[in-house]
Amino acid sequence: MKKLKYLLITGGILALIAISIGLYLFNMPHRDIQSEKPKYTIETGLLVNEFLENQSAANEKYLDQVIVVSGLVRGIETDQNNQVVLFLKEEGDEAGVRCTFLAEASNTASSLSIGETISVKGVLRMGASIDKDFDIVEHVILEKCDLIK
Amino acid sequence: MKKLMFLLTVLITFTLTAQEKFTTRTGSATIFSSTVAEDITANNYSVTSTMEPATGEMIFLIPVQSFEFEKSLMQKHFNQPNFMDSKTYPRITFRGKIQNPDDVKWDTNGKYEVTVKGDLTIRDVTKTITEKGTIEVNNGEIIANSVFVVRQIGDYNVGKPSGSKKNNVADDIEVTFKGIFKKE
Repeated sequence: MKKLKYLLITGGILALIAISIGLYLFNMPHRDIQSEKPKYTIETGLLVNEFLENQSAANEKYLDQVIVVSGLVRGIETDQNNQVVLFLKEEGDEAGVRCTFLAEASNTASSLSIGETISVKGVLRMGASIDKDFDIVEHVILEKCDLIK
Repeated sequence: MKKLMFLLTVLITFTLTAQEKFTTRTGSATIFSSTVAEDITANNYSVTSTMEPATGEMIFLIPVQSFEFEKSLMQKHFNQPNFMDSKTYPRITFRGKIQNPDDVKWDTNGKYEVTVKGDLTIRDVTKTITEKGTIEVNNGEIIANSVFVVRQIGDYNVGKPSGSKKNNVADDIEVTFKGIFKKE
């Protein structure tokens, strides 16, 4: 009888732990990019060149990583989700970096003006590429961005 | 001389129209999977696309890691090696042509039905698909909309995510695209 009680209690505790882990995983919060330490800090032109020179090596190095990019603001627009997107590009370069800002950072982002030099922290979603056959330039895509002061 | 000038003008106009190209870098793509177990939606607002009225040529480049899911665990499963493997295959591409570009009055405001045929590449597997959509010409802007289904996602080497319940991702994935194109 004592053994059964012991088994029931242990079983109950184990079940509770399993359920808690399951619930935690299911409701796991999204990555908080801004609280993560940046893996790399780099200038726009250098980052773009790394992708243009060796796409797969740069993918391996930068994809899904939190980085800080600095460069010249060339364009400011809003996407279909009302997020502010800043376009950074170095003089003479064909490709640049597009930074999609977090909703809470959009006011600061949209108050900037073209020609300013800024530093942005975000997560890299895709690299740059230039396809001559199809005449299309892809810029680096950085998301969940905020300015670095 | 007059004739030559006329010819030259025609030639220049023709060349300009032929090279005219519209681009969006803020296209949106929503994917939707529905099974008995659960409905899954993910949104992407970083789609790059170009459209060339003269030839009807269209290109779509979709960054896989930009798909945002409600649950972070779903997002993790979506990107992992045996599903989308976004580290190895960071983009989904589509290269195709509008089959009926002459049905669109590119310089007149209005909404036109189009059929687009081309090659969809996911995880290095390319299949030809033909889908319908609309093109709206609105004061120099072009708004493209399409809802279509990518059938048998497993044929593109996209597997079932491990560590999640079996069969909670559908074989057919519905895609909704919207792009507002401008001359770049």
